[in-house]
Amino acid sequence: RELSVSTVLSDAFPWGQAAQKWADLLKERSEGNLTIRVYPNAQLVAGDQTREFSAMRSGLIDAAVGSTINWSPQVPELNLFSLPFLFPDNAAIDSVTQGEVGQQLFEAIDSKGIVPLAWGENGFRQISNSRQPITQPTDLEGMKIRVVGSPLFQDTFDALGADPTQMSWADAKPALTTGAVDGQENPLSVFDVARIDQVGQQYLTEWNYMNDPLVFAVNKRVWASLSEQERQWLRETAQEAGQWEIQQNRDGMAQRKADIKARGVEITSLTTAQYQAFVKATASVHQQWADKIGAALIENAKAAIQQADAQGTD
Amino acid sequence: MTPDIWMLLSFALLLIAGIPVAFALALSGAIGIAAGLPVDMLATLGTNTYNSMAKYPLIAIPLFILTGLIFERSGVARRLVSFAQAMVGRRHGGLALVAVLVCMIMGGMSGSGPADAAAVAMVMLPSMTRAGYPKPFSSTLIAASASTAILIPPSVALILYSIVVPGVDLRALFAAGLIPGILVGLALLVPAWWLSRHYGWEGATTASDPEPLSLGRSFRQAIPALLAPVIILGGLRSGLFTPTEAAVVAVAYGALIGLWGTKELKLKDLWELLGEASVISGVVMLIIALAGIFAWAGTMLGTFRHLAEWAIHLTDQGPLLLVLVMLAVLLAGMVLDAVSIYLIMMPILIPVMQHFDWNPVWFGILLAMNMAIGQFTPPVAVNLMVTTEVAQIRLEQTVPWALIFMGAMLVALALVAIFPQLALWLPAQLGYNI
Amino acid sequence: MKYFSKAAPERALGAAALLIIALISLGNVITRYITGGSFSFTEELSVFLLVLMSLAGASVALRNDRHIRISLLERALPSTWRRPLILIQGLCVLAVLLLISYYGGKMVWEEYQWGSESPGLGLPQWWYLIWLPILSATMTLRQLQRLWERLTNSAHSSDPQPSGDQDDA
Ligand code: NA
Ligand code: NA
Repeated sequence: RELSVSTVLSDAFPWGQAAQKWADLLKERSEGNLTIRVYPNAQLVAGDQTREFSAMRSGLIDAAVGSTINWSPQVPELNLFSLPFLFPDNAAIDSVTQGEVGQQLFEAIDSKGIVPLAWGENGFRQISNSRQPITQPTDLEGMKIRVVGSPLFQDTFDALGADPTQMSWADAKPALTTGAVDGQENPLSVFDVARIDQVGQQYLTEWNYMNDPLVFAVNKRVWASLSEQERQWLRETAQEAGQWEIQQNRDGMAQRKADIKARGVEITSLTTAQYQAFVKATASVHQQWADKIGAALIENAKAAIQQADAQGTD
Repeated sequence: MTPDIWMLLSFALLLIAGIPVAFALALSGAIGIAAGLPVDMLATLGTNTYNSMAKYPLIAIPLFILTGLIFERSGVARRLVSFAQAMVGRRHGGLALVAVLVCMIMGGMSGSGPADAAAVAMVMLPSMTRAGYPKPFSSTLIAASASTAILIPPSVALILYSIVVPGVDLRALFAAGLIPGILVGLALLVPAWWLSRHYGWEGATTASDPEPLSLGRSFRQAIPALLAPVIILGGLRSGLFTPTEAAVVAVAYGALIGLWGTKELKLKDLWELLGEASVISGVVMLIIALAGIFAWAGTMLGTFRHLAEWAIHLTDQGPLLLVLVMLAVLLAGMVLDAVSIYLIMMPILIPVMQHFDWNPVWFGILLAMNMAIGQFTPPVAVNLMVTTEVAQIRLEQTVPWALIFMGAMLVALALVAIFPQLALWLPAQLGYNI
Repeated sequence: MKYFSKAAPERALGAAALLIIALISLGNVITRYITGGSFSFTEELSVFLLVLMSLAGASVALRNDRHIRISLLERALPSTWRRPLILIQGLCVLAVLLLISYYGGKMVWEEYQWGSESPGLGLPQWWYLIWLPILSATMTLRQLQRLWERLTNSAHSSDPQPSGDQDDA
């Protein structure tokens, strides 16, 4: 039996590699009895990545390695990861996804008719622009930033005094080239592979303002139709593929930064004090979104992050 | 029979039976799904019908169609004809030359051929007929020349190509289409001029038409129309607008010219043209939506993958395969419209294109040239339908002329295939990624 | 030339949707380059209006037999065979429209139950999606109308070409 797996990015990106790794591992583990085929570029939903979750739920897609941003219209709890400046580093992310909060998020996904299997990561999203290095909120004042859909992104960049503009990537690329839009935000892997430096984005700030974890998941009816053995293969290989991809993505980060720098992009990192200024400037967004995401969930996440931070500094 | 065969066979039968292309695509897609996939997956008829249409870059399509209609109604074609006539003067084949030139300039304002074909046919057919050109010849020449509209920017076909093929810059495609579009115009002129001389159409003294306007006067009247392509391309190049914005600026410019320039457009005409543009776009968009079903079924059933693998294994000679691909698209172009061809064939052709490392911008222009030919080859010939309707003749009468102009355009196509720089030089000069 | 078509309500809907799209886009260009601001909400709205315009326009085209098709066989057949062919054509189109209405309706119902939100503005997703089943149901009616018309006067319907867009020249 062959299952279809949807991804948004191809295997030129860690995201697509995660799905391909899953396919490879599963084929090997099941000795070809259960296989998956990866359909990149959200082609199974005619390119509309925000409808991937719904399509998987109604049975058009068997499985997906999807992003929490794209699934948040259907699972509001997943907006947690888009809360600005909540996760300072990898340890913070891991403390949430690998802990109790991750379990709660999986339950939220499960209650919407999808069986979540494992976490992967698209990575921290960093901001770039064509005008100047960004080190403090006021640098963003009046800057036109292309953002992906979600109203949460809108609120975040409004809070920072920027001028957020929703645009599909197809329109965004020419808009960035021509200066109709000044900046954009994406994970470093996307900045690197999609050659965003070529559209005049010379200033990149590594500000870790939000993370975009990936979720490996399967449609419930498909899951129910599988044997115990097949489920075990599917779950195990998803977890292994997820861990492999997360490791791969993090290990490759230094090289990516070097490559991007070599193309003439100025990369800025924030000091703790600078980071805190952004935290403060966007605190209101956390309150605005508390009801929707769930105040308890946010508190649990914050507690887990603090604990991880305390352990890290020990 | 495998589900693939069910799908492809039912598509062919439905087409022949005269079911509209859009519905034939959806129904054969549904048949493929029913034959080879879980029945739940018919849900794609809801989800993907919507998703295939709900794409921001597609907004440029109705806007560029509206631009064409507005310029047509504004009497721009007539002014361009006067100007071209003043330039060309009275000679054998003079009006044929004027028709080709005017079609090309009109093509620089609208995104698809039929509106141009209608505008030019209405202005030129009467005088061409008086000058001795047979109606089937003039109708076919105008239909063929108007097909340059999908090469000369803006172009609905190229907008669609940039959406179907990820990572291709629409501005580069637009720039790449200009020189091949002009080349096609020149290629059409050669047989048109030769035929006019050979048959003695439009003798230098036969015309009873009024004296043409002076060159200067007609030029002044034609300036606003001549500026439209400059504004669209210049706006894109200078970074003033994105492609979607260029489309709306073109609409606004056309309306300004019509309302206050030529004064032939009334406000209430605009409402009527909006309705007409929505109907023409509705036809195109429904094909986009329902070809999405067919494409989805073909992807899930593996039909496209198998066809692509088959094509790649056919030969390892890139140029030979290119010729075969062009022949296949040419045949498809006879019975299908450009939009369907892009949506059905690109999933098969993208792997082939990548395998042989063909430049996607150049390949897109080659396809568009092929589709331009399809716009005036029966039985499905959108431009020819419009011009034969204006001329009050039957489609069948045009076949011999259509074959001649097809031959001419194939020469232009071969040139661009052999010398890719004909397409790629301009976008490279303008600094676009190709 | 004057354009004339049946299905005036859909035509007006299509025209209005396209007008708003044009005004929004133009407004965006003007504000972006003159005042430097932009309406960030417009993309989702424009895309929705595009879908609305397309379906409405497609409905008008259906009523007026303007969808692109091959009418060669139909014209070649003797008139006794033409009526059954027209019936088959009509039923095939109806089948597609009913499938879209059904699965479109099902999609809307599911999204309503699941409480999905639109990705851009956070509005209930079904507000947008419901226009697919509504307008495909409208198209179903238009197709029935057209089919009835073709069957009752197929004796003198000598012009099955989808080109009836001009009534005078
Ligand atoms: Na054009
Ligand atoms: Na054709």
